[in-house]
Amino acid sequence: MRAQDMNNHDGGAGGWRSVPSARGKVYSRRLPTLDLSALRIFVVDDNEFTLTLVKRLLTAMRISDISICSDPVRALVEIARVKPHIVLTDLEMPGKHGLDLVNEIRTGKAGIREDAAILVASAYADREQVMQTSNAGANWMLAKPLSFRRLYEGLVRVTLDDRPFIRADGYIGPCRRVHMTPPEQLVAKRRKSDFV
Amino acid sequence: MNQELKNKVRPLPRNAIRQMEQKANELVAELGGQFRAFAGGALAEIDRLMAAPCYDDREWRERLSALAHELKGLGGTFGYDLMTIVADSMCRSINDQTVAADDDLQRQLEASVPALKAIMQFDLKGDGGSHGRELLATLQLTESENRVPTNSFLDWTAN
Repeated sequence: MRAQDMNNHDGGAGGWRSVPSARGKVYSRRLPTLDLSALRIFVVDDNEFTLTLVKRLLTAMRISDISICSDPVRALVEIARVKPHIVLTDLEMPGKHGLDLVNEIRTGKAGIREDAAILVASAYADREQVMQTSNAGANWMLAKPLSFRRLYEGLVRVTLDDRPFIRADGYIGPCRRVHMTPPEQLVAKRRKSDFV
Repeated sequence: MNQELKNKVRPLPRNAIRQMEQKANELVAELGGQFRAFAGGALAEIDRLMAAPCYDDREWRERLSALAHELKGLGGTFGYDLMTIVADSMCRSINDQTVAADDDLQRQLEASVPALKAIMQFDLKGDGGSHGRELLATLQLTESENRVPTNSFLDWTAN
């Protein structure tokens, strides 16, 4: 298959439709269709039912290397053992806040690379929370309720996130001054370097 | 890391997304019964807490907020969009600093409980049709004002 096919999602049946954002501006949701099956994902959420749900959504995406953890305190040890490519975490959890977990990963306390991809999912997704999550160094934030498309979009975005990684006093994470390039443009870049 | 991550993904035929989503819908649908049991349990506890409201009690507020938070976060996934909207309103009311002294907020919270029960009892999915609109009107909520945000740093910080 040619890589340019990844750009050909036409928004028809089964494609990504444009949806109005919170401010009414229309953003393209045309995302590339990627095989994510080689990714190792670690999911932290204190709600067991949510863990079951997320695991099923990831399974539908053909991802088989999935680790789940309902105890955010224990999560740090498990992350060091599993060494995931992407960490997906809830925010409000008893024992440890999700942003503390993000901070521990970014400061090298989790036993994995500081620049590991971090996806945050929370039902508390107002503007203030989004900014806090961004300032903590997470790559992306998803607003619950989760759906297949919402989760898939988040995974694609963090996988193709091409922002420079910043290590500065008070902030470690993807550059906040640079907006994440829309994935469909990233795929166009990849055509030259990765798929020829 | 990012290049390493990029190297792990490969393009798929564009119809693969439809197949994966169909599979996801099947897998999620299988959990429908479990979700109803979970939501029923959460609602029973909300009912118990609201039977003896303690707006000054931080622990009581946090427990109520946590339960509403769970319903908000899961309802929409199983098609109960109204549940997410009403539970979101509950979360905002209970987390408002003035709730202990604000009769309107307290009335809003009290009205939310039978609304959530009705959503479950009558299986009001999506916008709930005319019943859903009536329910939101009763609670003085509108779907557009309370729609769960679509997502992301981009949507909220781009303008």
